[in-house]
Amino acid sequence: MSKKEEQFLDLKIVSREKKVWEGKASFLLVPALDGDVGLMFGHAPFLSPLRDGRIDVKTDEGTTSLSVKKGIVHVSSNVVSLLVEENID
Amino acid sequence: MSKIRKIKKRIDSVKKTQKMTRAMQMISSVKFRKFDKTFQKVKPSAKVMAHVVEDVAQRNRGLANPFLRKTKMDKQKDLVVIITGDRGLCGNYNSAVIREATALLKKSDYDIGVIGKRGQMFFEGLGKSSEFFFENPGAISFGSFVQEVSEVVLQRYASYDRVFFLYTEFVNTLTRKVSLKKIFPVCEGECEGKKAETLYEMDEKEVLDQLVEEYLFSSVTYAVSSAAVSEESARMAAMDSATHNAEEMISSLNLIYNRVRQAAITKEMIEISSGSEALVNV
Repeated sequence: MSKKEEQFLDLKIVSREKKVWEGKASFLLVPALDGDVGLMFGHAPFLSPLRDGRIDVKTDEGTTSLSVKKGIVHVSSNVVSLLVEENID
Repeated sequence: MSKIRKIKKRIDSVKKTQKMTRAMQMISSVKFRKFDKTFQKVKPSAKVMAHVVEDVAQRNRGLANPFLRKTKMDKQKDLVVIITGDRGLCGNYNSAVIREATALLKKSDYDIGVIGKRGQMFFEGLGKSSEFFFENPGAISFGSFVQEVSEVVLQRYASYDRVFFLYTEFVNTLTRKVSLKKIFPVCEGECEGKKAETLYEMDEKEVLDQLVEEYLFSSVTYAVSSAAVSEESARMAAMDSATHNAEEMISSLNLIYNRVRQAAITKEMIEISSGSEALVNV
C-alpha cells in the first residue's frame, strides 16, 4: 500500500438523534463560523462551531454534499467528528 | 358440587389474568422494538460526542471550563440523577436501580435528582428529598423532556463537584446492568494535557459552552433511551414469565377439577348401584 492511499480522514457525521454519515474522506470542506475551512490528512487539532451551509466530502467515489444547520466540527488525530444540529438533506 | 364450582371459578379468573399478562407482553414487545430502534440510532451519536469532549478536555492544560475540567473539588457534594420508570410490573427493573442508589447513599451523602415516579415514591418514603423530579415520559421524546432535564442539570452543577447518572444500561434482551456514569466534569483533577493543543475558531468560551450543551443533551438522551429500552425489555420478560406461570397454574387446576368431577361421578354411581342392589335383595 502506498503512503498516499493511507492518508484519509476518518469522518463521522452525527446529529443529535442519529448517525448521518461515516467513512473515509480525502478532503473535507466545512462551513465554520468565520468562513469555510478545508480539512485534510494531518490537520492540527481543531474545534469550531458551524454556520448554516454545505459540507463537501471528497471520497474515493467522488464528492458528496450535505446541507447542515449549525453544529460543531472537531478534528483530532485525523478523526473528524461533525455534530450537526439538523441536516436538511 | 360447590367444590367443583369453586375450582371452575378459579380457573376462569386465572385465565383472565393470563389474557391480561399476554396482552401486556405484546404491548411491551411493540414498545420495545420501537425504543430499541431509537436507542440504536442514538448510540453512535453519543459515542462520538463523548469522544469529542474527552479529547478537548485532555488536550488543553489551561482549560477554564468547569464542565470539562475541574481540579479543585471544593463543594464536597455530588449530585446523582436516578432514572427509574413510572410504572411497575416490570420485574426487578426499578428495584435494581433503587437498590444501587441506596447502596451509594450509604457510602456517601449524595444529593439526588429523580426521573420516574417509582424512584420518587421510594425516596419520599425514605424521607430523602430530591433536588428535582421529572416524570418519566415513557416514550423517547427528544425535544422538550431532554431539554428540560439538561437545563436543570446545567444550572445545578454550579453547587456540586460532580454529576452522575444512575440508569439501566441496555446490553441485550437478556442482560441489563445498572450503571453509574459520570457526566461532569469530563476530566477530573490532573488530566494528561500532553497532546497538542486544540486550535479554536472564534471565542473559546462560546465554542466550549456550545459543546458542553450538546454533550449534555446527548448524554441525557442516551441515558433516558437506554433506560426506556431496558424497562420495556424487563416488562416483556416479566409478563412472559407471568403468562407462563398462569398456564402452569391452569393445567394443574384442570387436573384437580377433573379429579374432583370424577370423584363426584364415581360417588353417584356407587349410590345408584348400591340402591339398585338393595332393591334386588328385597
